[in-house]
Amino acid sequence: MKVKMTVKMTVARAMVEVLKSEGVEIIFGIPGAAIYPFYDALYSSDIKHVLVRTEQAAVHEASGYARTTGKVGVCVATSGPGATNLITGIATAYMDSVPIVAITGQVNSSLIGKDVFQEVDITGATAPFTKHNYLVKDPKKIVRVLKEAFYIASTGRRGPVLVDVPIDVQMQEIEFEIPREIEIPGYKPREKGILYK
Amino acid sequence: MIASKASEELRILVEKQKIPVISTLMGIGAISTNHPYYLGMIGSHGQREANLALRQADLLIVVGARLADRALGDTKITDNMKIIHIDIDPAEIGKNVDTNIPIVGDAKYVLSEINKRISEREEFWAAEIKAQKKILPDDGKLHPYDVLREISTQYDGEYIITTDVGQHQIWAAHHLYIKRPGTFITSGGLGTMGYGVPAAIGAKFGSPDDEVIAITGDGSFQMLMQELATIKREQVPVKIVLFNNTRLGMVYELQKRRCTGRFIATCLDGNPDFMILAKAYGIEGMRLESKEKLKEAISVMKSYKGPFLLEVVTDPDEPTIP
Repeated sequence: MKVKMTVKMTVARAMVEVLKSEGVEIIFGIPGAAIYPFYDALYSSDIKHVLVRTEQAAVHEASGYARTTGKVGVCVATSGPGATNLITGIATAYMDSVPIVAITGQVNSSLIGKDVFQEVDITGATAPFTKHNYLVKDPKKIVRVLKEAFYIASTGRRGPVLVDVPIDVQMQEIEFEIPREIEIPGYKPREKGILYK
Repeated sequence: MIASKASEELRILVEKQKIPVISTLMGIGAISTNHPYYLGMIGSHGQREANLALRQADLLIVVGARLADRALGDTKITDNMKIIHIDIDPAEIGKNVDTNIPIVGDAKYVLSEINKRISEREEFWAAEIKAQKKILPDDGKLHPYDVLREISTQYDGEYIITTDVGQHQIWAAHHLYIKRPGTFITSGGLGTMGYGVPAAIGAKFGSPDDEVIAITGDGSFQMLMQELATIKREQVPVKIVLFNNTRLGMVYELQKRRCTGRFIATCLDGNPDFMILAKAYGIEGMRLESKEKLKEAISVMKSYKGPFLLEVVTDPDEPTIP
């Protein structure tokens, strides 16, 4: 008999748990108000955080890490200017097919679209040069989304994936369970060769 | 090629069939740059032998490259050239060049399948082209290629190189010995100035046992030089080789050629004293100005255990391609 084990935890903590399950040992970033719950969860993990001096460098450092290890590079920034500072780095990774997961904080989900402090539509802005991106409004979806982000970044032609998480979502409690397999309809990278005629 | 770790399969293919290898900027290191069949980088900033081979080829096997404008340069793909295009992304097939035989798949898998089906060939096709390799002048002055070749010699290719974007990037692409795949890390597609130093920091975290050297210029370096603080905070022992010609060298050269010397906004007077800057972050540094000191400078940099900045004073009129 299979017993399904779930644990209650915050989305922020669940994000850190997914990073751990993906074998992430190091992340590069700068904290800010909209990403503080994630950083708070990071405090009690073994993942090393490298504090950079501008967010663009965080993506480049994640890129240098990814290109030497073959693993996915992870970078983090807060909402608004933190997120927009990532843009050049993300576009750089996209053009060179480097696997990156970029995590950004977003303003409170009830305030999105109201031009509140440090709000920017980063999923809209990065759509043309991310392999895929997500704005996570439903706390229950965070685990699947982050797992998918790693899967998409590191398979087929590799590239950057951005995951934008509003601060209120980060603080929600969820039932945490790691999905075993990733199955994304419409995304089936072909590794074995096919000859077109 | 590099992402798919297909270098061994590539080597078997070209050695069996005696095929010359040319590379895009991003492909450098896919095969050792001192492999007898390697002719160099192609494109507008490429090496002569490589471009010559590309122009004369009747069959081009493209593996993982997208052949964008900078990679082709002035070379026109004609109907006389047959193209086999191997790429993991079907969107690349037929995007920039027409293809006779498109193959979508992982380079390692596809090349290993091809290798099962080919025979040995006798003669190396591009022997004549290879023999025409240009010899660089030795005029007693310190040139960037002297520095890069000295680094190559002293380290014997045992390093991970990251570069920024500009003249120094092309100098590095032409003159550094790249022994292993994945040890030449550069912003090839977007051409992002500022990439080199942070990429070196990340590379050092990823591969702490390797020596990591960032090749940069004064323009690129200043785009993200605040990362010296990250180097200091984390004590990341990266080496930085900074070619300082007080110019945005690529554009300066363009203005020299295309705008009959009407130089605008390309002189970077206002540069800091990079030695004092390094010192401000507690980073050891050395300024190299003459060829006599070259061997010693590289040897000091190599044996130094912590982060190190080597500033190479460079003639603004040093061309990208000699």
